[in-house]
Amino acid sequence: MLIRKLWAYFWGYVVILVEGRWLERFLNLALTRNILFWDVAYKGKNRLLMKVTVNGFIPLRHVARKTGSRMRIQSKHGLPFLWMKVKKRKMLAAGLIFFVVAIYFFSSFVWFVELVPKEELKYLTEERIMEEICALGLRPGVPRWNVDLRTMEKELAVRLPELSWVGITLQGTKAQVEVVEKTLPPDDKDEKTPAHVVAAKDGIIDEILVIAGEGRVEEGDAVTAGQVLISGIIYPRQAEDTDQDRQQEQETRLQQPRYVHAEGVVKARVWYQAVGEADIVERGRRRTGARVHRISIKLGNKEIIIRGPKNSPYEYYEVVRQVKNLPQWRNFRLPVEVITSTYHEVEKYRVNRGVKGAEQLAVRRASEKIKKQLPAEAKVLSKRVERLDEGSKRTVKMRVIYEIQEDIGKTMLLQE
Amino acid sequence: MANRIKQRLNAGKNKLKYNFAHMLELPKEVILDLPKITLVGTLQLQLENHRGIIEFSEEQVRINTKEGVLVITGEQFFLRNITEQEIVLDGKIKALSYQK
Repeated sequence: MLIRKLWAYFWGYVVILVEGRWLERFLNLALTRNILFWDVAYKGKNRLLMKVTVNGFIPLRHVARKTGSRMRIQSKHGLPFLWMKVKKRKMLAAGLIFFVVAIYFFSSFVWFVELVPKEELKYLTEERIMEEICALGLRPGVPRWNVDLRTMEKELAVRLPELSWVGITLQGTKAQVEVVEKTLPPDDKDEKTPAHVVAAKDGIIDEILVIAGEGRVEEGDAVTAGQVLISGIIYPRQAEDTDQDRQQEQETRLQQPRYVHAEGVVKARVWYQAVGEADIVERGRRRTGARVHRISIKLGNKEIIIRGPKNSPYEYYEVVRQVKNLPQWRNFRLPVEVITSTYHEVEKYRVNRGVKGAEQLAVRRASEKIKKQLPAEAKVLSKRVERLDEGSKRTVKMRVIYEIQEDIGKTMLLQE
Repeated sequence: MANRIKQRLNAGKNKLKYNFAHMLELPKEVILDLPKITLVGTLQLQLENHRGIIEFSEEQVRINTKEGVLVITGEQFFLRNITEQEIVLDGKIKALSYQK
């Protein structure tokens, strides 16, 4: 029906009023001559209002003459008539076309460049970044097709090494440049800044090698986190010189302590512990791998299933729902959602590990927790395992303690 | 049921056609050239295989068919669509009947 209406609109149709005494005969005759007409309304005795295509109008006049009816055109519709009107007002049409072309033309340029730093800029200024973006050729007035975003992103990151990530997106005529700065490590490489080496964690010192500064701990000492291991402050030694003059001179010179950037390797024994748990008999549910998708559209409160089953085909199952909304426009959100539900079949299972098996699993779990925390160069000295709850029949709890040797030194700048 | 329909159809050629249609499960309105009426509530009536309009007014429409004249009474009748094969009538339909 819609197609037919569009067709009629495309070729044009007229609304006519027919008057006559044999209107039924008029209709039947028109039908046998294959004249297309529709929407016939009764307008009182011997009067009909109807729509007829432009092509059907001329043969319809013959029909009217034959049946002694009178036809009057009430209104004209459709593209051919619109076209005739447009032809009379050429400037209007030209303006309309110009408008569309202008919109299309001007929307193919970049008019706004917006810088969106993901975090507050620490090393760079917005002006500096904008300058580089301009230099790369992304500035207001540049045609969109001349902008190669991907290479531009790479090039900008190369030109500004302080940036770790650059993302440029074009949204219509607006180019949005998102940048993320690198997080540079604090400048502890600078040998001139006075600094201590302090303990990062508790432990017992195994080895201490001082490169710069003054060692404050010895092998075998127990230290706590934050304790100074190698001091960056060197106090003057007692002068042993016997020469009075030189002693005097040295005292004035050495009275003040020297500040250095302490450096060294402090290896210490530290302990890591973790508790792991495992059931002796484990019951649970797991997915079997079988699954079924369902796609439905939610209109307001009604859910219409497009594809897939109405209810889950499995007895035990898990549902994963993904809801997609149409993009929001201002405050207006269409109440239409596309919901993809996936039913995963699950089965119940039961594993009997025995006490030994459960203990092993608990130890493995605890060890994994520890290994996540260990630094790369850590050396495992020993490992101890103990069971925590001897009595329990259902679960096993194991504590695992690792003895590790690692460098616990951490540079801490001196507060002036 | 089928027998009664057979009796009603006058013997001879029509009976043969009916049996033919019945056997091959073809639509009977096509083989026998009978009108087929589809009603949408009281809002719309679709009639296929008509043989012309006899009367059209707001309260009554009469359409010629092979089975006789179909009389439709109601209110606010409006011919939505009309071709040689099909008529779509909108309005408030109250009664349908056949006149011989």
